[in-house]
Amino acid sequence: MNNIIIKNLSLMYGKKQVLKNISQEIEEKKITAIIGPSGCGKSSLLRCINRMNELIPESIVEGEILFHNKNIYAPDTDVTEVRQKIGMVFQKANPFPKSIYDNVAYGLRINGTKDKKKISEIVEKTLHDCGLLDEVKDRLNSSAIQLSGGQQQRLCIARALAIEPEIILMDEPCSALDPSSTFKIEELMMKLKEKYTVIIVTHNMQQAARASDITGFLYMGELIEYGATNTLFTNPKEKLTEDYISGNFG
Amino acid sequence: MGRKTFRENMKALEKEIISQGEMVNVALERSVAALRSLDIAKAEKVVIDDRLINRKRWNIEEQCINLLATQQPVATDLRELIAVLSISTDLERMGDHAEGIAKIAIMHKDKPLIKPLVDIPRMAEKASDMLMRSIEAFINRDAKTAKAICEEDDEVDALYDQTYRELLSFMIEDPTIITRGTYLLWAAHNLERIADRVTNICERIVFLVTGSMEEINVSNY
Repeated sequence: MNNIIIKNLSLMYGKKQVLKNISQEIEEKKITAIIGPSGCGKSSLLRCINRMNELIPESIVEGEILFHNKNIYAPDTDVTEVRQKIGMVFQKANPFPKSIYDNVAYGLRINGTKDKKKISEIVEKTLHDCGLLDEVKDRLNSSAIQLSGGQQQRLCIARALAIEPEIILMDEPCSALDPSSTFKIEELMMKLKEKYTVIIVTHNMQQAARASDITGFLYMGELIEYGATNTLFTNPKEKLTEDYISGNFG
Repeated sequence: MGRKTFRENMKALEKEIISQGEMVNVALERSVAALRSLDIAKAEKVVIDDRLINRKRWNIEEQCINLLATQQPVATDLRELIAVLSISTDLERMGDHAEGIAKIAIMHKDKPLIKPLVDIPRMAEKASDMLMRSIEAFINRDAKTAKAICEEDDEVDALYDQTYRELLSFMIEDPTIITRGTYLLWAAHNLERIADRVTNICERIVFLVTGSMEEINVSNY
């Protein structure tokens, strides 16, 4: 079971409470979208799931996040291992200034894989899984920076997948992309959920509606509503959710 | 409150539904009056005006499609839009039923009715009352009234039963009137269907208000 179970999670940045006592189980091999107005804590919640918030000074996490029934905030947790198993894709594609091939191979190499044949196989397979192989197969040694924004984002997803994570966290992965690249990422997400649990933070409600199975609505650090995407977008239970998704505030 | 454009468009669509409902109601009353007095000119007016009801439906549908494509409504907004689309389709079909009754008047040509109409106008009156109240319930988002209107369909069904039995006994007694007797059966059936479509509208109102799709009163026919 690789469900993520969030238990009484609170997050403070100094004196400011960003997340308030959130408890929620995240379903395995489903796409869960987190929506909410700017500043509601959705990215912070995502970053808690692979302990990225620790990089922010003065951040204090309370509560637990269980991954394989083990609290990732327990003192004996290997943070690098957590971030390997729970990968992250960011708003702005951030390929390394290296070749396309090296970007995908990077994680494997730093994790100690030396077998060149194996690396080559994994690079090819992940690029293929991300729908990028046909577009880049003739220029694997060219710089990744030359790729389009959408291709760079898919490369970053391939880079995350190469080290075999179980959970993929996506923080506004399409906000800088055009519709065609956005649809490609969404199609990729659909494919990814066969093997991985995907959690995506998005400002774009149509994207949450189109591309997720489950949606959570966060407002001022509280998880107001969480449930099947179809229900949430046709008949939400909470008035706050209704007002937000209908564009009445936010 | 946000989404001013969307709200304004939805208000305009509601007005269109009220207007389409009134057009259908006029067609319904006029068609039965035309049948009752075999007033061919009045019946022809119903047939001609049905095109306007059809056109109104296409206009409403077009506006709904535009709003779906450009405003991407969700939750209550989406249910409202779907309700408008569905109600407009039901109204358009009710217009067709009224047209059917008017055509029955025309089909009588110079032959008289086989009997003075009693229950058919009563059915029409009841259906018209249900129709206008359903439109009001839609505007008021009144699911309780909508459910109550659905229950009233039983009265129309009972009148249809009565009409059916009566016409059957007339036709058994005098087989030479079977053709005109059957015409009147069709007219009664059209009215029964109009009341059924009012219950469809009411089910949409319940869906709009509660989000639950349910069949409220299953007609006997």
